[in-house]
Amino acid sequence: MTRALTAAELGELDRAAAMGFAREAPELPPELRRPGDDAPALTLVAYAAHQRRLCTLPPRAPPGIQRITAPDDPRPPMPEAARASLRRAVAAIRRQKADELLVPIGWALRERGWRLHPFDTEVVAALRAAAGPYERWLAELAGLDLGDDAATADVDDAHWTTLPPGQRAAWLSRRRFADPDAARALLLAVWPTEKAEVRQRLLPAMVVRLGPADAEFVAMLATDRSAPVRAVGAKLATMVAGELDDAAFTALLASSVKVSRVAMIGPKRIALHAGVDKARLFDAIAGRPLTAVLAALGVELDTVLAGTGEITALFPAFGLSALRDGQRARHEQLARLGADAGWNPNEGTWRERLMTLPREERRACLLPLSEGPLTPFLAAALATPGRWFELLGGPLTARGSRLLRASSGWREILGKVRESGGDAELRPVAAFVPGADARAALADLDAIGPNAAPLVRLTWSLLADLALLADPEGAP
Amino acid sequence: MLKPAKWPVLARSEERQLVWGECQGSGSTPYRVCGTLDDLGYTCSCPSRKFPCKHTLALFWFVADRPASLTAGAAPEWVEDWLGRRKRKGPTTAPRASGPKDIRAAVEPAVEAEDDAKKAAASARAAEKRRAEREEAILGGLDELDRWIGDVLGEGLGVFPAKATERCRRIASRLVDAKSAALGTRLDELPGAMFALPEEDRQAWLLGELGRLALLTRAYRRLDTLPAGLREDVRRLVGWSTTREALLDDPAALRVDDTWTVVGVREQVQVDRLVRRETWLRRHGAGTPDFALLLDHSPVTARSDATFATGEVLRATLAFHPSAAPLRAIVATRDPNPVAAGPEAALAGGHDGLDEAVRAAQALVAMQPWLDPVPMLVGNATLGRVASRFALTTPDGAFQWVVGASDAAVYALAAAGPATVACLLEAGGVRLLSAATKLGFWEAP
Repeated sequence: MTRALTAAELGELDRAAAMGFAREAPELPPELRRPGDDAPALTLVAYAAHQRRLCTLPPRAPPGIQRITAPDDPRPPMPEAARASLRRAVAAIRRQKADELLVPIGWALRERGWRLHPFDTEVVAALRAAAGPYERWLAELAGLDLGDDAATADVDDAHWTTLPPGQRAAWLSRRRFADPDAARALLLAVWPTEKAEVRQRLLPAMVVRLGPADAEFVAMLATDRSAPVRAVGAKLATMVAGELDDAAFTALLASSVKVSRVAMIGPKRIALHAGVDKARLFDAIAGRPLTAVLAALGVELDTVLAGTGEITALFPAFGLSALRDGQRARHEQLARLGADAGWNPNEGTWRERLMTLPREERRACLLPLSEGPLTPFLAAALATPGRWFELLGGPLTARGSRLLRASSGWREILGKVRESGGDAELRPVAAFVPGADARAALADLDAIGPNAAPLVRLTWSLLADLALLADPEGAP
Repeated sequence: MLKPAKWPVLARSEERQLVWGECQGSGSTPYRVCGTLDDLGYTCSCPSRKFPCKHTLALFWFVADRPASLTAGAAPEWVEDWLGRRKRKGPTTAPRASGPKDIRAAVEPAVEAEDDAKKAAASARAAEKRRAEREEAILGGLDELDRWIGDVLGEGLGVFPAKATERCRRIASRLVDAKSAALGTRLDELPGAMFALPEEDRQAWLLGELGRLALLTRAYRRLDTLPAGLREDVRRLVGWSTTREALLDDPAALRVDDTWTVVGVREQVQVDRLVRRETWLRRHGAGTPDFALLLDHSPVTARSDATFATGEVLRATLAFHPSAAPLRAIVATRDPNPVAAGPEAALAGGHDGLDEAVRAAQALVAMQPWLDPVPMLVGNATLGRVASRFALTTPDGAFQWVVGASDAAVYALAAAGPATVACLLEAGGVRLLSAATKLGFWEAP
């Protein structure tokens, strides 16, 4: 090529190529012609292509370009020493489709307060995929705008809207627990201006302490523009409809619970009338503060505690009612009494009621129950581990884990692992073991055989390492 | 396939147990098929990767089902050629009778050596003849390609996308028939590459690609006037290949002994159902070539396990294919001992900004106009977003669109701040491979 094509020649070529050379063939400049070239137009196209590749520099960045930066995250990054083993464990778990084992790993990372390395996108993706049935807290871990609940603890009513949507929902949930009316008013104030996606994320917080006072707000959701919001609203409406007003509540108690005295000045006794709808009664009691329930019944708590027979099945409902008054110890006492009397925690609406509480509150209520001498809760956990892990919002305490491992149910599971050589039974319940007890759990596996349950072994080993990195003093 | 009309020649030699035929396929010349009936050996000139191909099966079907379709005759020269070249299954010579050795046997090796020399000469002649035939076929194919480009440009590029796939498939088949398989694959993949671009960029890219193809057809016709390296590039782009053994045996091939980091691995399933695996290496030491490309092809169903992973560091001698801008290479020897250097060591000394990096890439393109994609190392790079598209930017104010990266990958890299990025400059922008960042080595997922 003896000279470069000019901008005008290149422009002409572009026009001709768009319209078709058959209409208007471009001319190859004479000085670029070679003898014997029977297709000069193609030669021109060849020259132009080469020249453009050689001479075109990158464009300048447009003014509207938005630089991508990392979100501010005050949490420390997870120790480099654990990254490789974390990636290895997650990859192995994903390969064998044992996602339930990702749940305790995600929980452990969150509990340590570590930020995942941003390059570990496969770990993030795996945790996000596993988070599905296990509440928002695990999903938050995998998000870029994540921050733990503690980071939002100091935010007040005037500034809660500055939080990312995920954190706003967590904050609102806690605000509902403290003051449901104030939380509803805050939500109502921003409702008209929020996008449907954000409205949908905030709405589940309303489940916490949902009551008749929320009926008007819930009714408004039926006409929301967004179908997903209307769907959540319909669920809330069903729950609100189940709540009774004061008069109806008093009437229900009067028709269901018989209060009597042994003698004129003897202690009061309570019992259920025959044929009572116990499920409805359970829900009604659980939905009111204990003080209100006792006032409606006209009895002291001691009278309830002295109850025998069918009324004992309602003790956990009185326990939930005590929680509404902030009496966790009473809740524990009443739940234990109910369990002693043969009540099955997997029956009734006790679990669903507890699920309306913030996670921290639930753990505070349930962890003592899982550590006591009586462990019907552990038995229930072993029977339906996924549901119980979700309810518990994390693994057991070290003490609770030791009790679990000492239980007959656990020994039965290990026996199946030994017989079958697989770990299908162990995987779902492996999540209950916290890092602090993981080494001891590994010793249980060693007793079966050095190669027993390799994936569970890998998980517990990682949990133990993470616990050690977080607390080197805690080394055995 | 079993229609006699498709077989202008269908014949057999009874006494030699030979059958042969010519089948009219999609190419301009019919495929030549022949086989032996005693040991069922066969060959066919079609490009199919199935063995036996459908033409061979059809030929034997005629023998078994319609023997009357085959006329008796003497084997043509191309059948004799094949017979001369083929190795029979089982023992090629009759087993020697045991017994006392004869002194006359001592002279046999000399006779055999003479026979071998004759065979080698005949084989060389046959190879030369095949080469000449292929050259002729290729030149015919390139003529067809020029006509095709002329037709596309004649109609105008605006109407091409609507029938791109069909038209490209047709010319690709012709090029494969003309023994220009590499060029055929390039044409077959043209619509996919074009449609992967934003609509507003397609016409300009198509004009450029047609120009590069036209440049290639012209370069091939003037091979003798090109420098040696560029001549090899042009031949390779058209379809001539060099075997691994030939490259290793070539004393003139460029060899570079250094430490290398695998900066990226890409796998693509080609339209011919072969997996094309590109392994991009960056040299730790200074000098050119500073990048190398290991290229492997394997069937979709049989993945090769001899692959490298991004971030792997190896000490190896690479042998580069002869080229005006050496890039494609094979691993000649590899030190099995682990290397102490981390992967980031290869990403030191990147170009300071996109302008400088693109100029360096253009210097390579000036030497080898069809080099695509071109590897680059860009220092001080940050990531930005314009509407829904990502872009790589550098302090000199330059930017390039990022192609083929997921949101998660881009945000992960962006979280590390400015980085030295190994990437491929290709149509539509840059493809991120890996990066050295303050948070460590990043690799594209």
